Amino acid sequence: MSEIGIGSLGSILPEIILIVGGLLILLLDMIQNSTTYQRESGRGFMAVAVLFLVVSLVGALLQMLSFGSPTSQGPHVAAYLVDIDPFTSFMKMTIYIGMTLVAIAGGSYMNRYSPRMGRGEFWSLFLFTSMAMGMVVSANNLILLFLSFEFLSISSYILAGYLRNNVRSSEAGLKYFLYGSVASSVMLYGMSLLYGVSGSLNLTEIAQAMAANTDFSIVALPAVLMLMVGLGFKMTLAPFFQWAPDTYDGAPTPVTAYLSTASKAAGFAVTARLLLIGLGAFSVEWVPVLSGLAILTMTVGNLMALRQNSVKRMLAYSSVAQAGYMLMGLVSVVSASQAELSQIDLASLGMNGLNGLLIYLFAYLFTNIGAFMVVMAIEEDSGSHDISAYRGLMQRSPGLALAMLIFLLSLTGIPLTGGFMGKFYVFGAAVQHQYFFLAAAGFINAGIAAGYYLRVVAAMLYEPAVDANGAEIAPKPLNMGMALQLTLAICVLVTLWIGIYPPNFIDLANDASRHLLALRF
Amino acid sequence: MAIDYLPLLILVIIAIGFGAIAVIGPSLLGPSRQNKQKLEPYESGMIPFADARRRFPIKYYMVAMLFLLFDIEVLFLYPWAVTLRELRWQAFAPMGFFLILLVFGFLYEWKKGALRWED
Repeated sequence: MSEIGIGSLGSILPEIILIVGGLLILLLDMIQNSTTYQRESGRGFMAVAVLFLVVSLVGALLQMLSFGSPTSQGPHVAAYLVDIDPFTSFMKMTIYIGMTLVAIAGGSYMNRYSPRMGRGEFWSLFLFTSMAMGMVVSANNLILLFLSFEFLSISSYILAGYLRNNVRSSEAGLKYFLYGSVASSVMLYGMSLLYGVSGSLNLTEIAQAMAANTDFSIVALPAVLMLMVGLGFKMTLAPFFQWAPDTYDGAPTPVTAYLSTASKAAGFAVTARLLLIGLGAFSVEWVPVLSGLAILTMTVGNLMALRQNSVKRMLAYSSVAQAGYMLMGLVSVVSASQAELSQIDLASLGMNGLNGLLIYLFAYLFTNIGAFMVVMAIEEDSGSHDISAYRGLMQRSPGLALAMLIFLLSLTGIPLTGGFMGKFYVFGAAVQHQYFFLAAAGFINAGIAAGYYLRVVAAMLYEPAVDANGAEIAPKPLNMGMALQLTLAICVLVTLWIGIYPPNFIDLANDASRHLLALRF
Repeated sequence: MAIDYLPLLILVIIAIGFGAIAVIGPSLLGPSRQNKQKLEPYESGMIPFADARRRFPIKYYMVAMLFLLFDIEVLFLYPWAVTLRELRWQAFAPMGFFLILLVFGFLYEWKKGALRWED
């Protein structure tokens, strides 16, 4: 633990930039007089927000580069409350890239539909949310972790219910809030148990205190269970996922896009850090809990998704199912046979589970943001999320249809897409560490998932376009903004890049995961 | 070590037991003679005149929330003011930053018309 000084502010530089950006937007919003207010399009706020997001992205990149070449073990900067290491940087980059993409593509949608009074507030809240995610993945102290977790949740509640005049959006915000507040309070109780026995809020110190006295292990299981309520809520794991379909369905589509990707990635990063560093010695307790949750989550998510006719809702359930596969990666960090545990140097393994999780999260971010942006484009064109609105998309806008095809194939896990690389590494780690049952459940579920993803593909490619009454109509192309096309192109390129030529990227993920595993007590 | 927490368990049992006895006991032991006055909700000695589930002006909630916010801010200032002499600049600078942020928020709500009672 070092002295707090001005110098250590550098470790939270990207977050400071975002805070300044958010406050600047509030200031700009404030100094407008009421006559210009009526004409405010929100485009200026959006430009400021994107600018600050990009600058903080550069800040996070600089932090990442300061660790040296990707394959070497970089220095580990531990400021008072935050850990700045390759793992944190990787997660920050992932999250900020996701938020920037959502801001660029979804900005005009939000500006058009959000209430006239609240356009500036939307963008400042958007920046604050990004800041909270950056904080939550780097926190190594329970208080800061909880505070930024709550900050993230509360600003997300507001953003989910942002379209005040829309009943579905208000419903989304309220459901998210009710579930979230209960989940957070249970998680806080779990944290208080950890603090109660170890007398420390620092994750590393908690691990040391827990190891020093075997009697403390009695709280490990209750603490894990309670923590998983709050974390499971954020990651949309099975027993705590009921808010997800309604919130994802009702919230404005750009908000849904980041909730299901960046926010979820933040949840997984926190879980990985808490369980591996804080409770790494108690993997016997949390591995069964997590593997049970993983199987339940993917099965429930997939079975529910099969029945959906709304593509947005189908993607919401699919996002629940994907969380189950990702959790498999976290389980597979620990070997199933305890005898091996002490002999194998976890960090040296090619598939250590955690790098699978990181690759999965990164690929999933681009894929899912892209898929939701297609949903947004269709919604703006037809006002509907129903699968019938996707019919004949190939004749109407071939580019959009091909992009959606690639995203859906990636979500299914077809080779040459990013989703396949993620699944390959996660399932590989599960097999390597002898979780055969888990891997089998994953494979069966991936098969089920293909059913509902390919239904959309079939509608897009092989069925003629129809109007609301089901009568065939002549195909006419969709109107899409430049920003949306650009974002879709980036998402497609990255999805294919990770699928086709990933070595550089996998090095980064390896480096990040090894760092967290090396810290493991 | 776990034995150290035994008093906590005993406390929980006593608390639940006391609550249970306080609720169940009177209904078993005491006579139950109900009349209109006894069944009315207790409103600090006032005679209730209408249902509480009615519409309030939304402004009320706004003011209540803003009050809560600044009330908590004062709560932060007390311990800070007590230790300021010892900690000097190390305490002064962060609190100054915090207060600037709060003033900023105050100006924002003012400018946005959250404090305007009459339209």
